[in-house]
Amino acid sequence: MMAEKKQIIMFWGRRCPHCRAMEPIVQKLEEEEGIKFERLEVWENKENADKMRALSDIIKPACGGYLGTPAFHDPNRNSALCGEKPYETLRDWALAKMDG
Amino acid sequence: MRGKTFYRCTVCNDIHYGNIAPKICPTCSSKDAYVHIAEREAGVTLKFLKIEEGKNFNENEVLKTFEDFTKSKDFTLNTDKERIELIVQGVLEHEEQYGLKYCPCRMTSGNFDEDLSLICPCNFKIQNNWKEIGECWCSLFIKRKE
Repeated sequence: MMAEKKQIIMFWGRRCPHCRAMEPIVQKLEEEEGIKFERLEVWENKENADKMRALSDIIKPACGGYLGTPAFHDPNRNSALCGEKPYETLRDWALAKMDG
Repeated sequence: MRGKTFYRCTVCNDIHYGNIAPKICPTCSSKDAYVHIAEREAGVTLKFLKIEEGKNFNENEVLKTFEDFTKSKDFTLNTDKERIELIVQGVLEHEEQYGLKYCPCRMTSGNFDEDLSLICPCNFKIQNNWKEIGECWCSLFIKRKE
């Protein structure tokens, strides 16, 4: 049986320079590690903004107290990572197992 | 000399109308914290203008206010011009759509008063990013090298 692809949500803003800088890293992780990133733009799409706000308790502590972008959310672990990060940092966080 | 115009304290969002910005904010006592702002920003912040009312700054005017804000400070504008351009476009788009120059690298909570802390320039010196890497959250302002 094929292993299910790891799914990560990426909240991003279209004028956010950190989000632009992370896009090639995210693409590389999709290609090399088979992680699927669901990209949700938050400034143009109210539904996405509300989804992000609903995760405030998880995202704010990871972003220094605000709803920052880019914010990555792993629904399985209910864990968040925020901001412009090196490839290795995002990879290790994204591939981490449930509370390991 | 600009003549009488609006200034906002980037720490507590106090609004001043006058020929020059106050050196010390009368509301929060912060020093050199005022930035020149457009009429609309002043009016929307104080809740006496609607988001479509009042005059806004254009890209060059906003950039000039950011540059002026860094004068004689321990921070400067990021040297990455492309990054600055994107941020300026972002804050102006947010002002056009939502009434205030909200940071393009953060999201509003939906609570107007709480979201005043997201207006650019914000009170970035209280942020972990400033303390840890010497940058505001969106990296528009960076610590000046000694």
